[in-house]
Amino acid sequence: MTTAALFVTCVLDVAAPDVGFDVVSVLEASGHEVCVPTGQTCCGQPAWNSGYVNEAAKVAKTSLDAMAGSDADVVVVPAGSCTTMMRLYWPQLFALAGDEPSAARARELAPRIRELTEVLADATTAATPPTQAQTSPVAYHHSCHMLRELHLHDAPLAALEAAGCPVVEWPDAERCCGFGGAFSVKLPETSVAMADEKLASLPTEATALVGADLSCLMHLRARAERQGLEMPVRHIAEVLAERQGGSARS
Amino acid sequence: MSAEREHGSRQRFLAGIGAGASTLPLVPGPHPPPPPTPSAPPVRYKNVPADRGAAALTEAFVISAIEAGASVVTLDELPALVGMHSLVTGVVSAETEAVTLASILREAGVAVGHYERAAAAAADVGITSCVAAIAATGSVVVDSWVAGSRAVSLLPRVHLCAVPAAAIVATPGDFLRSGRPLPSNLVLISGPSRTGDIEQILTTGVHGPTAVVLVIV
Amino acid sequence: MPPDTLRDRTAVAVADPVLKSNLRNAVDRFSTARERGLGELVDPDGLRHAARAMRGHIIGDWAPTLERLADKLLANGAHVCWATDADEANAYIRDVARRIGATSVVKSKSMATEEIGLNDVLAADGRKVTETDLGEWIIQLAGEHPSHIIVPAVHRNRHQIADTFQAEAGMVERRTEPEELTAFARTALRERFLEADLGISGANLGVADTGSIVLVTNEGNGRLVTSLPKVHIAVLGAERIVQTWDQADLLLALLARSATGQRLTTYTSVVTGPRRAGEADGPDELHVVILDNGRTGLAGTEFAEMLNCIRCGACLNVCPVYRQAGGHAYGWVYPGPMGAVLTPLLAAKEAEGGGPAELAGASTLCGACMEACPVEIPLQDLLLALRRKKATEGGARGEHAIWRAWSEAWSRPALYRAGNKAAVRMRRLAPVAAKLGLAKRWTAGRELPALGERTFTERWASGER
Repeated sequence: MTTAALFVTCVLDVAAPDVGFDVVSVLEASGHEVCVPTGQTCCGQPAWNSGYVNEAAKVAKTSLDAMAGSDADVVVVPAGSCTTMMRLYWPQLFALAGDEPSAARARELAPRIRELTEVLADATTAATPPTQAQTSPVAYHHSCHMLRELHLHDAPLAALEAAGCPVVEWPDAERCCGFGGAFSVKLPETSVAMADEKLASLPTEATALVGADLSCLMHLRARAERQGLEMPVRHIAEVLAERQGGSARS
Repeated sequence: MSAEREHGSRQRFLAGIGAGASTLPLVPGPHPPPPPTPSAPPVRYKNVPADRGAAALTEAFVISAIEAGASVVTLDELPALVGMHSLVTGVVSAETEAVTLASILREAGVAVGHYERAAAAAADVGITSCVAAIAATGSVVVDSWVAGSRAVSLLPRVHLCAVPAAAIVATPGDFLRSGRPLPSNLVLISGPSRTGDIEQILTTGVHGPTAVVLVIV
Repeated sequence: MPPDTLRDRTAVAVADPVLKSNLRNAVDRFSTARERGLGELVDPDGLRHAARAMRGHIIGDWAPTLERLADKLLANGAHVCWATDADEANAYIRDVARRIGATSVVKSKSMATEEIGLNDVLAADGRKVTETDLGEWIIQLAGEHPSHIIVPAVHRNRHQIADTFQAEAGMVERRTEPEELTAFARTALRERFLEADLGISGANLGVADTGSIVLVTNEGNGRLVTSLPKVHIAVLGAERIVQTWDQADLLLALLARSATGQRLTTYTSVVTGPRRAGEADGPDELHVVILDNGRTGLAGTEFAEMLNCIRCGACLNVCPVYRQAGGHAYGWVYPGPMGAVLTPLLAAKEAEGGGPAELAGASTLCGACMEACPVEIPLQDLLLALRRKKATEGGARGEHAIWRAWSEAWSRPALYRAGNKAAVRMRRLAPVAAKLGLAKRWTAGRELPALGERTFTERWASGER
């Protein structure tokens, strides 16, 4: 049994709590014992991306202390952008803020910080039995940090495939959705134009738009709803949990 | 004296290098640069045959040249160019092979004269040879010292170029890294002049030649 | 820079359907071609990585390399001008034009000369300056600036170009096929090449070992500009140098393939000194203006790798923001990701409107640019560094206070949890909040996210599983 400390992420906590339970369910089904360390808040990325180092470091340190303090085998993060922040950018963040001890702790913690589908790919127990009847096909959006910083292209696709969920060919799957954090409200017209192109490019056979980053999904769903587009937008954990029959909240 | 040709202040300019650096150590991000090195590994091309024999290289060159938009003809086919490209006048540069091609065209009725600018600007065809040809890219290399001029391969509508088979090398690196002394102007020519400036639709024949015809000799 | 803000310019651009269609067509073509072109090299990623290490070495060895280049240029008979800024470069070129009594000047494409505003200086001094690169000529006629560093007129379609030719270039019978427009340009510009007293070009590379300037072009205008007039001036960005031909070969293998997918552009010209005795043509005088204009100050800083840029434009072609906004939205000479980094660094003096510092925000940090860059410049990290610089030098009004308050709250777990609880409970106020401040910018185009009854943390803490 692998112990997993869940980093909730601020977006999930407020905007998609059901997804959190789906994440736990999927982790448990793949042989993990899940705990949620108290004392965690946010990874600090919003301030970091806006250039405010000390503010980002102050918040990140709280989360670093909470997660590093757990002796779980893995720290699971259900978002590519937060995983990137914690694993790749925390050492630089703390060093720039003049907090060398935290930078060292962050470097030490980094190998244990894993995105959700990475963890599922590593697990020896499959979260979903492989012999299920297939669902209708979905389109999978590769979020930018997950794809280009974490190089996690195949893991989420493999998880969906194992769950009997076919993924359609989507030439624009890897293009940025236009959220970009504060970008979404600093350059809102461009942000919306990017969402529009992404949504317009969805293959007609896709019955849902699935992704692994709630920020992207929130932005795409918000624009799809404004456009009156009939396209469910779902986090991959929701889909996987549903397929294993473990989601009590569908 | 070369000092007369130096302007501005070398010392003041160079003193600016690194003037913006702070005394604080730089903190590397998650994509740090590799250790700096002057070395530049050789570039290998998938469209270059492993067999570097003359026949294989020539064949590879011809394919690349055609892909670059040039056409490749034999000596026998030269007279047919006259009608195909409506050639009436021409200019020729100094290389022996070029002079040979020029005489063939003269016999076919083209008035070919030695290079001078006004003639070249009015000519239909400019005839040169090349000091090298590159199989990977289909390029011919024209050397202004060997050719005696630059504009023969530039001003007329059609550039006819002799390609000595022995001058064909496999890659640009084979030529560029060879240490050959450089003339005032060396040009690697890969097909006819072109632009994609209008809707990114490739059109050939902009300011340079509209057609490049190569003859392996 | 224009007086309006980045947001103003991008908002206008993304609402323009003609621009949208022109841009998509162009960048899709180029990025597909780039993949095909690089795919023909063995281990292209290894070459890009090697190019990064090599450029890093050269910039680390910058002064000696520049000195060697200059000494070789001088030994070859060229003039060398050390131009520390735009004014010095423009003054030098203006003075050469005066000395030779140049009435007609032809230029081939040079982003560096756009950067320093050379054309305006020469025009004010009474010289007739003609841009001869087709895209540059089009925008010169239209009174615009380039919107892409490789295809300057990418924002204009054939009909708009025909409009310009009819209005400004004397095209009588309206033609719109690209071949016809190109043929018109060939004829119209031929005479300018032949009559010009002075040719001005840029330079893609300076090779120190031989004192050579390399020009990478397609149309033939670069060759005409550097071969026909009696005097040739090349403007070389001080960082655009290599030491050896081995290094030049590596960059040349990557440059055209990254820019347009071509194996090589039609003409790779190597200029080594002016015409030699016995050559029937070529310039009698060659001048190389080595341009600093803010570049040297980047060495040794966290922005140093921006000096590795070889101006291929690959980053523009993959950038999801450039794709929507186009080049003019960036407000200066260099657009796209490389422009978003370079402009704040070189154009710091331009302070109108939002100013160059805003450009670091013209990105979602998606990382596609670094993936496409032939010398692996970590553009997203440079953009983050610029955002930090902007924040320390005084960011948008009130922004620091907001983040400070945020960090005070969110570094305290109890306050964070309480804040999130309050946020979900305020969901009924959402329609009201939607009309306020930043929320209004969200809701102008998007619905607000539907929040649940309680936060995950609350539910987990209450024993829900």
